[in-house]
Amino acid sequence: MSARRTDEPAIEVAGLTKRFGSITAVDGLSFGVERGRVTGFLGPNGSGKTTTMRVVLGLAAPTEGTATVMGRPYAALDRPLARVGALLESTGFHPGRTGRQHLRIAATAGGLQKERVDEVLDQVAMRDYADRRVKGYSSGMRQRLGLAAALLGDPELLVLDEPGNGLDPAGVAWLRGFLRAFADAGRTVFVSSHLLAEMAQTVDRLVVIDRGSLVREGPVQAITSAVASDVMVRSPDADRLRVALEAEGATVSVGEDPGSLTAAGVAIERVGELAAAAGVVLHLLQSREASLEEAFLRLTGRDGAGSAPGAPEMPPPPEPPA
Amino acid sequence: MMALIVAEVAKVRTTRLWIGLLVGVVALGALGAIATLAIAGSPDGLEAGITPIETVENVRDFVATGSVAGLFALVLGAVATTTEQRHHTLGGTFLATPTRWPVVVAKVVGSAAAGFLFGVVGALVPLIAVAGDFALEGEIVPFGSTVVVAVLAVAAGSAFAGAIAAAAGAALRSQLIAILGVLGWALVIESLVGAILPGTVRWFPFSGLTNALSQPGGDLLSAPAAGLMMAVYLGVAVALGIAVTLSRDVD
Repeated sequence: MSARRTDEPAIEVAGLTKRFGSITAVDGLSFGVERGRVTGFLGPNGSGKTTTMRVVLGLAAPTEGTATVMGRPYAALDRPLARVGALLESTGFHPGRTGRQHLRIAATAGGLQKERVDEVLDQVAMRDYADRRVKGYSSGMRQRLGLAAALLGDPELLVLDEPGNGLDPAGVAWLRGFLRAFADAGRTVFVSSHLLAEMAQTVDRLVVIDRGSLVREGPVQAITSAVASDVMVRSPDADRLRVALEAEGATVSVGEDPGSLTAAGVAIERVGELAAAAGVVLHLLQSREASLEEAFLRLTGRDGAGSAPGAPEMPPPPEPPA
Repeated sequence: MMALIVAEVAKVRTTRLWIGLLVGVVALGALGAIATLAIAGSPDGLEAGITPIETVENVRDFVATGSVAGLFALVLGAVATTTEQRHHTLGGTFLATPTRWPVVVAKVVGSAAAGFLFGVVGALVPLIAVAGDFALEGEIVPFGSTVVVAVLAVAAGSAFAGAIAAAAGAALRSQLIAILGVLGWALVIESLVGAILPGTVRWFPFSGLTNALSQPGGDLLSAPAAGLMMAVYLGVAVALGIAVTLSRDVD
């Protein structure tokens, strides 16, 4: 067996396309997941996140392109549960089995030590409920059991699809700390979530997709500052400055305070240069980095731009892939 | 492979379905045995072709009625594979074993083992009933190696039923269709086609081949030929189940 490069991505997706009949769920998607990092996987509902994860994990076959884990297709991994732990939204449990029975069966099939069952039950604080049948579990308990199953093989890579679903605030906080510690120990996490505030606190890098295609990939801060940073300005001559900014192509909104403006789509340095050139005095010049949520909405074109003023409208759900 | 088989047997063992089905094997077998013993040798029984149980061959044929266990093994086998679709547990199974064909083989083997157990119990129920009937008369039931062979033959037929149903289930998504399909084949289609074309019965998986093992004679195939045909049927069913499983995306 040839030695694997350590700088090789934990996950590498190249030119991935997945079609379900006439519907294209993933369209020529390419990205990499760096080792030792928490990489967030963002996209609106129906954007192809779960389908991509299923292809990465060998549960669905790509129509075109490739997806590799640790340099190989998932199916080619030796003792895969010891390399990759996965929690998918669609994965279920037999309601008639207990949580412990589920984990024991997975450990047997995966060639893992039975002692790991109690260890992971302790990790997700489920030992007290392990001998109850799953049909009596709450959604949060099922999610914890799914996390326990993902951790069973003490893997070096976690692939988690909406792991915070159903968890109570304490569980979400635990998950945040756990994922951070997992990556800090040199392991890798690839996680999708709709909890953008949680993602902002947890992830190092982002892969943002929309309609099955890559929108942006990179460090969180680079994406939020490049995509969604605004410049706040206050000037006694705001009208002249607004004209200069709009001539530069910036989107300018007038604030409630007299003389205050917010400019988007222009660098803070350029705002200063334009003010100087126009002879406008500035009382405030400050950049405001947008939240991950704002960046996500702008990247995916769902920031409400162009909608009528007044009450916000919920955008229609995209067509499901199958 | 052994670990996978152990895991698949554990999947069957950790749900309550197999207990319910085994109770069904015992209940239906006991009911049939008691009813048969009640009229065996009576004018009504003789009219229905039920002769008194007096010889080892009579006991052997009576034990063969335990092959009703095969119907319960069919249900268990069909459920063993389709329940993973129903409860969305197949993803977890294939994450542990991404090379899918061993999973199908392990399910078939596990279902065959459960079917064998059902068959042994199914055969023992009429044997115990007739032994009790003789004991009530202060006599010992006629017994010989052919009776032991009949118990094993019933168990083998039931194991075959469990295995082929598991393989068929691997090729289907719906649990209901799988259960109705295997039962419909065994109870309805074989009977209908057999009534229209009696010469074909010897080739049928259940009314032909499994009966050839437990009740040899008549127009049925010899036991070795029946065993070979069962292996062919099972091989085709397993190949089909594997082909569908490999080609299918998992939810």
